Amino acid sequence: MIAYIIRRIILTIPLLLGVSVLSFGIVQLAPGDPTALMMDNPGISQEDREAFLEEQGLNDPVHVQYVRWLGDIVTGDFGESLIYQGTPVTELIMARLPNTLLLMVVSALLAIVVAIPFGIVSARKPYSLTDYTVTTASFLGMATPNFWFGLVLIMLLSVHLGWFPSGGVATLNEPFSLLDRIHHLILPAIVLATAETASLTRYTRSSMLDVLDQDYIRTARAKGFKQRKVVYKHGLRNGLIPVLTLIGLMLPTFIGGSVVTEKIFNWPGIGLLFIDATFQRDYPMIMAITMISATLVIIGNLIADILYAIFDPRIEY
Amino acid sequence: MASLLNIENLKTYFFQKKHVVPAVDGVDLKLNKGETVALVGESGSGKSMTSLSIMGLVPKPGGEIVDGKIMLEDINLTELSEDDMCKVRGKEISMIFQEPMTSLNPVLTIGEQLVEVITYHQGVNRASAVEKAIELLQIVGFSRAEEIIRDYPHRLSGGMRQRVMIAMAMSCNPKLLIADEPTTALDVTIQAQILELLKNLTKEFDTSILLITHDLGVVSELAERVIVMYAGEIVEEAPIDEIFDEPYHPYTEGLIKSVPTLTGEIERLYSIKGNVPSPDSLPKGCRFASRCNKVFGRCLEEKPQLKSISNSRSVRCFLYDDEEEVE
Ligand SMILES: Nc1ncnc2c1ncn2[C@@H]1O[C@H](COP(=O)(O)OP(=O)(O)OP(=O)(O)O)[C@@H](O)[C@H]1O
Ligand SMILES: [Mg+2]
Repeated sequence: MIAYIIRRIILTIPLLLGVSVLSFGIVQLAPGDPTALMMDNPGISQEDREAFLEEQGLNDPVHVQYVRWLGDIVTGDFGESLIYQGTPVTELIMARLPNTLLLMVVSALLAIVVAIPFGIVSARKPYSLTDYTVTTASFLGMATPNFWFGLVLIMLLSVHLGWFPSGGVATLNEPFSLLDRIHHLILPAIVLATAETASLTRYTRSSMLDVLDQDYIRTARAKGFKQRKVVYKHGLRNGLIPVLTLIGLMLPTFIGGSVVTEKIFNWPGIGLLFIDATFQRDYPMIMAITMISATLVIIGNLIADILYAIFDPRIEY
Repeated sequence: MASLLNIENLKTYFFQKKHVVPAVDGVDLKLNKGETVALVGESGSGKSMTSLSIMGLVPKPGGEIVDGKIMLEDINLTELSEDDMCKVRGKEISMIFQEPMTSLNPVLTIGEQLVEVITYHQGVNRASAVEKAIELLQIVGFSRAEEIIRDYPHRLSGGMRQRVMIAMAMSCNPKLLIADEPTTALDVTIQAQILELLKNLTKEFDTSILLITHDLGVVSELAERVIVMYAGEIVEEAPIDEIFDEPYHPYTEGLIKSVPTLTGEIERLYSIKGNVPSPDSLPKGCRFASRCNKVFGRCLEEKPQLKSISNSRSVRCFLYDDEEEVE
């Protein structure tokens, strides 16, 4: 098992290299450069601009820039932001990352805690009224774009009813308060969790339906166990094995979703940072966030595989 | 001999959108203590549904016991509540299935799957249940029972898994063991071992067996009496030593002729022409008429009843309706 994990971690290196080459290329292909916004400032001349580009090495051929960037990365240096002049990218990211992680973890937990019980209830009585209700709700959840859902919630619950703050992580200029933080977290977490909850519910339902139809479930019933015990002892663990993988694979969608959610709720996480960086062509920042996301996704996959191995005795390494 | 199981006029139907499927249509069946009875018939004749009806495990929604009594000694199983039925399943009546490869839970150890049923029905503590589980595994032929108990099913072969299933089924000393095609999925040498095991166990535990199969070879190994089912009904009932030599019903005759013999001669394998009529479009007369080689006018018009010929034999066929016609 340990050997397997180490092997997997080593395998991530070429993967991350591939991701970095691709994203570096794509970022450079996008029109414009970090100076575009500077030119709006009448105090900056064309010469200043040229000097800036030269100084940052942005006039070099792409591959030269990439190799330089890679060399820095290996030493742990992600470079300095081109926009927030002189601030190391890592410093800016580290200041924001906890907010994003908090949002993602809470949303993931919310999705799991809601989806799995509903999926099970649905599967236990397929085609019943409960099942239809859950199914309809899931399809709605999947079909609702989160930016729209976020705006609707803000309009209803924040603007009209005033129950929730419409954005931010905490009330400004007030001492830290856990309740206040939770209050701010609720709406963004719901919005980010919605789509995942919906698809996880569907997935749990179909996985459980599949399992409850298996021969070993019939065996368990033939032993005289009550339906509850049959479902929870013999069905659940088998049914959740594929669901676990899905949870690990939720991360990419989550990262994408958090960018949108952070924008809507003005949530100071790396998603918001990423949007700004993209608009301003802050290359080192874009690359750093991309690499962090890629690493998170890979870790998510690895965790899914490890969980799989723990829960399914048939998997051996 | 004291009677153990007494089924009267059992009807188990499936209610589908367009039609009703009478999977079991008026079955009477008696089983004595310690007796092994074989229930034979082609695929779709209702053998499994009969056994699931006894277990109270008719697939729902759709399937339902609509009529009849299933008496286990003096309790009518069809009238028991689900909770009471849970106390019968696995304890008084247990069941083994055709598919040993998929009938064990892949994520639980062999030991856990045995122990859970022992603690559940016998109210003993875990330690003594584990002891009992090891003992059972030894009885069904595992020499390394202490190790097997920690293994997961995927490490065992089909034959070994079926032994585990048998150990599980026997763990609470059931009065009745229903074996639904217990050897069909296994290869021939393993089949023989499993049959041998079942034979010994029934003697040792004094358990009755309802053996479901379409393999008449298996029947002759194990059973004392044979009941032949066709399209949801019993068509013939006879002791084992008579049925092979003198089958009454043309269907039974066909079944026996279609068993491959090991005489070495290459013979064309006999097969009964046609198929079992679909249960949603049963004919007015005899259900076997369309495939029967002795069919005559009355068979198409009237439905024959199961008729006692002697005190151990009965048949559902007009050929035996009058004394003279019995050859
Ligand atoms: N879930 C179901 N829904 C509808 N009809 C069913 C269902 N299960 C079984 N049947 C019908 O009940 C009839 C009897 O089925 P059963 O499984 O008892 O046959 P069998 O004699 O055990 O056959 P086999 O040798 O293939 O196991 C079949 O005609 C089948 O079509
Ligand atoms: Mg069957």
